[in-house]
Amino acid sequence: MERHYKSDENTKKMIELKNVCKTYIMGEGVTVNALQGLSMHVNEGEHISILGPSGSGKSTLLHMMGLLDKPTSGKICLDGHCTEEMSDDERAYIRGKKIGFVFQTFNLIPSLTALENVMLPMMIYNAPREEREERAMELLTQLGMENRAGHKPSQLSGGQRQRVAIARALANDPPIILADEPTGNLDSKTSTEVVEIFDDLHRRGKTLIVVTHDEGIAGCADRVIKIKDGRVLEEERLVKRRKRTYGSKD
Amino acid sequence: MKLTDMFVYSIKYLRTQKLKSWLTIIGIVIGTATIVSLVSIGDGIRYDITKQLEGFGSNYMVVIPVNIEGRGISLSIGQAPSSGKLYEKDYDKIRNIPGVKKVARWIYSRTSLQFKDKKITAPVYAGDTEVFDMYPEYMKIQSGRIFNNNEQRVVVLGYDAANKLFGKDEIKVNNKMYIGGEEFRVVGILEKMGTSLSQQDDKSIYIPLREGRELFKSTIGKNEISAMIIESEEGYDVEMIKERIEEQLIAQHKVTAEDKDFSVITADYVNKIVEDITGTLTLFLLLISSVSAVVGGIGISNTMFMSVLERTREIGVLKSIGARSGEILKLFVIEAVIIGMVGGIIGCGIGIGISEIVKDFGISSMANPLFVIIVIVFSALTGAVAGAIPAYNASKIPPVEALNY
Repeated sequence: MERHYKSDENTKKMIELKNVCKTYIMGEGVTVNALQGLSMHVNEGEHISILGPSGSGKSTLLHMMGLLDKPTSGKICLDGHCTEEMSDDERAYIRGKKIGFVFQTFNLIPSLTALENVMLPMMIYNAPREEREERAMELLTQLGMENRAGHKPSQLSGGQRQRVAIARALANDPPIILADEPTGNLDSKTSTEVVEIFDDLHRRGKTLIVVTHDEGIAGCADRVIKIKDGRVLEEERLVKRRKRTYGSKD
Repeated sequence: MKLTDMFVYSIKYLRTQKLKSWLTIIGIVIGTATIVSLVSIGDGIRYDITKQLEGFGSNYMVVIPVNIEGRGISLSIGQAPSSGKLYEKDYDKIRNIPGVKKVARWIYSRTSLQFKDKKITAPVYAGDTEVFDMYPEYMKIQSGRIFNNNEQRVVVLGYDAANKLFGKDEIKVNNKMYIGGEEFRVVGILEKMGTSLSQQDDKSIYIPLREGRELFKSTIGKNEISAMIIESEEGYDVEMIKERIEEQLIAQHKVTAEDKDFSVITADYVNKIVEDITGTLTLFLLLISSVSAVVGGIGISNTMFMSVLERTREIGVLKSIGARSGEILKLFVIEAVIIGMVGGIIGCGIGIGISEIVKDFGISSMANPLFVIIVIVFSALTGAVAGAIPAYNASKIPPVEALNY
């Protein structure tokens, strides 16, 4: 069922990290080495799980890949763009265009409706108003949320909120989706639904990186990267099955 | 992100925080409403004074038997002004000063008045008919005519004297009325001046000087004059004539320049006093304005600091979907500007409302549209300044920190 992953030189690397270190200075001389010379890459269209216990540095890793944070040392390239020389504004631009984030706590804007939340990323890139609304509605429909478009996040269940958040992540049609414990706040039924949505995104060619400490979720990926103490502990490539079910552990 | 989208975004947020938003807005409303109503009232008073002075041309002077000069607006404070009396011989002296074209005398006294069954007591002015010529703008005849100096038992009434003084009974030209027990015929009624300062003048009752001398002989000395209005010839320096009049009267009254018992008031002097008063008023309003701007601004600042704190995670989300720091900064500044501007608009509305209401109480006021616009712009600016630091703080929060908040 498993075999060791060998890098395929013909495939385009969507994300590449070389020797990335991140050190947090906590004050009073205490430093935390969240990432310690981590190297890895993600191919275009690949579905990766990053698995590790809390404190392993997996969230830091996701923030690095999402250009939300800068490494102390090392190199991060995203879709051919090397990011270390970029200004904050350039990073923000790449972030918005290339990456869709899905968070554990959904992070919807409470003052906006579901539809407006999905329109927001397009608003930042000045898409015409009609186009925004049309595309946002289309995405909500794809995720079965068309009837909730006018609802505020507080009027939605956890699963519904996460669907809206996924729709928002897809708004600018980014090639990469970064998900940080996307099912962490959901029950198992809705978790399965979210995993199915991710599967579908993957089939449609999105590069998917899911950070989780749940082995069941991790098992749905093409490849699992296990992180411990800020280093890659091991990588395993999973054989694709026709239909994977969340909860069945390999 | 477009500015219009930022506005929409901010308004949507503010609407979810109604109580907080309105409380902050009220801070601005109170300030702007105060400023707009006070300035409107100030402008109204200024307008009244200007209108009052319009008829008082620069070649006119008034001589009164009270020394008010050098005391300016502090007249009512401090020691009582020294007062004396003016006499016919003063009138003769003044009339013969070169450059003096016309001199009109006034005497006045409170006298009993009767129209039909209604009896009242009110001041009656007896003067030379030249007075009416000297205030052509102010003392316009509405119906009838002005009396001439030799007529007997004739009276000209101010608009309110004819229409209000005797209750429901309106006096018309050719009606009879009693002044000091004598029967008088109404020959003219004046137009209404209608400003807050003219209320007394609109109630005035004018009779020829000779008639007054006879009626008031128990209260006013035989040769006494209450005031004189002087018109100078064109081409003569008014200040110079004023000096000549003063010299003459000082000699006549046997006083010194320091403790003279009269004043010669020129248009320049009146203007100076008006400027003193309105200048002080403007300064005072400016002070109130800046205090209320600071107070309202602090309110906005406070709310914005709280808002940034509460919405740290939202800032992180916005950054994660591609918003740049500059856009976050603008977003929060716009929010503060909206608070300031809405406060300004509502405040101006209330201010205009107040300035309309006070008119019913006889206080003049005029809301200047340009000033209202300036106040609204200034409120928005106050918002921008007050929101600048919180917005800057918001824009500088690193995205990861903001998301993990």
